[in-house]
Amino acid sequence: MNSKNIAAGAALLAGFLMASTAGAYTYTTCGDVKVVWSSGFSMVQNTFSIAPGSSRESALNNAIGRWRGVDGMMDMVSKSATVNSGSSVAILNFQNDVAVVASANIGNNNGLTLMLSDGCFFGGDMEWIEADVMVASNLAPYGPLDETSLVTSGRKTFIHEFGHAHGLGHSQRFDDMRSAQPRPQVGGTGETVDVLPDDAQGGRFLYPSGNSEVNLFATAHRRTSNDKIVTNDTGTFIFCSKGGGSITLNATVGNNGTVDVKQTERWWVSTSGTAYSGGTLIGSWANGTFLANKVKTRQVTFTMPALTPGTYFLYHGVDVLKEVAESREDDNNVREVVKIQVNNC
Amino acid sequence: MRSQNVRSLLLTVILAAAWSRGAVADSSRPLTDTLDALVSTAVIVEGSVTEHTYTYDAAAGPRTVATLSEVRAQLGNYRGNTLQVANLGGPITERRWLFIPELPRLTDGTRYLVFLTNSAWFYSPVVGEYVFRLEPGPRGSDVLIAPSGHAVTGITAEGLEFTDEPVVDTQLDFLRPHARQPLLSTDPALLAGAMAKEDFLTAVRSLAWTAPLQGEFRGAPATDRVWDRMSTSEDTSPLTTTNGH
Repeated sequence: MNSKNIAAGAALLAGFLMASTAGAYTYTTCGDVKVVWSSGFSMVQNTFSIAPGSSRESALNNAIGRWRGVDGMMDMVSKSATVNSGSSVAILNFQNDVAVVASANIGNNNGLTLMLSDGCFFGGDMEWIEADVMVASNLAPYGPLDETSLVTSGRKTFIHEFGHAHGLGHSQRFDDMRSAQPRPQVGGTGETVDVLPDDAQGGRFLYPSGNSEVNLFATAHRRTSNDKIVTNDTGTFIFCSKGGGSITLNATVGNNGTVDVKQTERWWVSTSGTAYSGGTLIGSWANGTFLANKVKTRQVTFTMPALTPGTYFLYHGVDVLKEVAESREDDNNVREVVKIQVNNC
Repeated sequence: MRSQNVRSLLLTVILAAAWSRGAVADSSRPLTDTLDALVSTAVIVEGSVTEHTYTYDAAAGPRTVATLSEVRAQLGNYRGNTLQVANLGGPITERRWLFIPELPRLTDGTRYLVFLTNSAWFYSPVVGEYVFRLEPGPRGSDVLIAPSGHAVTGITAEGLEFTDEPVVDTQLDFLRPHARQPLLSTDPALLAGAMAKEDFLTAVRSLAWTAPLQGEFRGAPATDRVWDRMSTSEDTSPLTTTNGH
């Protein structure tokens, strides 16, 4: 970050809550007692439809890895050493299968998870005994997604269906368990399809380990008040090179950890599309606190500094001073969708 | 199977008879917006759930059948005044239950507005999540509540719009799986922002000029598959070294 360009005059004119989410996860019960697996469950990969080394396997591995990566939640799901190389999978065979199938075979859903349980007779006597996860074959890309992407993808479907496999239901928030895509992502240069705050909180509720997690992320997405997942801002802002214009931005930060985090944010611009580690600062916000298990979108307004004419990318970073040790550090800085055009004037 | 569901045998016979029409595999397109949903719809009906029963068939699998009474078509044609919505899922044996979280769930004593598919179906006859609980709104008109528990505030060609917060707790308890869930508050303000059913239907009729309802609703699931075995789709994609971890 170029400290000379720290916009000392950058004014934080507005910062208000637009949307926050927490505790919105859903699950099933038997006599008010949560229905869960009694122990960890292994998924048998159908290698006919999810070939080893393929992008589909990448999506599968990501979903398992991300759910296992939720600190504070027991590691429930794993990949079985056994594989099924056949061109079909069986339900009710006490084997947890994961496969990719034709969309028409699952009612044109993007994914479908069939959960089998024993009976619920008295309350508290029901548990999951089998989960079969099906993901539609027409959902490419299955591979890693750009942080700004709102595409309907197999990668997001896998992580959603594995939420069901753990016992979570749908919830319409800034989360993976939304019933329909698009679903939001975390920003940064690492994996962008991750378990989001409500999902993680739900997983910790169903399978608590007692451990804690610290992790903030910046994201290029936000949830609107009428329940749409959109990018924070779109289009191009135009400014004069002499600086002085005002810019108002939507900024979204998620905390998918278990503790509130106080930190410093920055916004910067660069003509490079990969300037995650810094550029010309346009604004900062010190000592901002983000609550555990919440996603917050707020509007911030800054005064633009003088800039060389050109087209700039906009970046937003959380915990930029590295004040907090996090379980992930590669999701802190996001390149937003909006562009900034600086003209010679 | 639980003794209360003995009547399922009769329904199984009815379903089996209906299959003789020889339905083909699901063919409607994936739903990406409201227009997709409309062209996948044969008829939009309104009715009240008066009964839940279970059926089991070796091919069709366990079904939870919600019977809607006093059914009337709001858009499209529907003959008869009852409707059976037979979703896949329910008891397989006394000690085994199939649950599919993606499928819509109806509750007893509840009025619904239901979009019924025009394609051969196997999992549910409902188009996506286009099944809405109807509740009296604060201005005298019914309002719509989506399966997510959020009230509908608008509908456009791109999709539905909802309240920021849910108005119904959608938690499912298997001890009383069909119990009607209470509103989260008795305060009329809870549904103040919800769209009136009449306005919703007016908007739907307008959108249907672009994406007209078509085809016929089939009352029974397709017979070209079995519930407990599924063909998989061969992975022919290029291999990659990325593993996603």
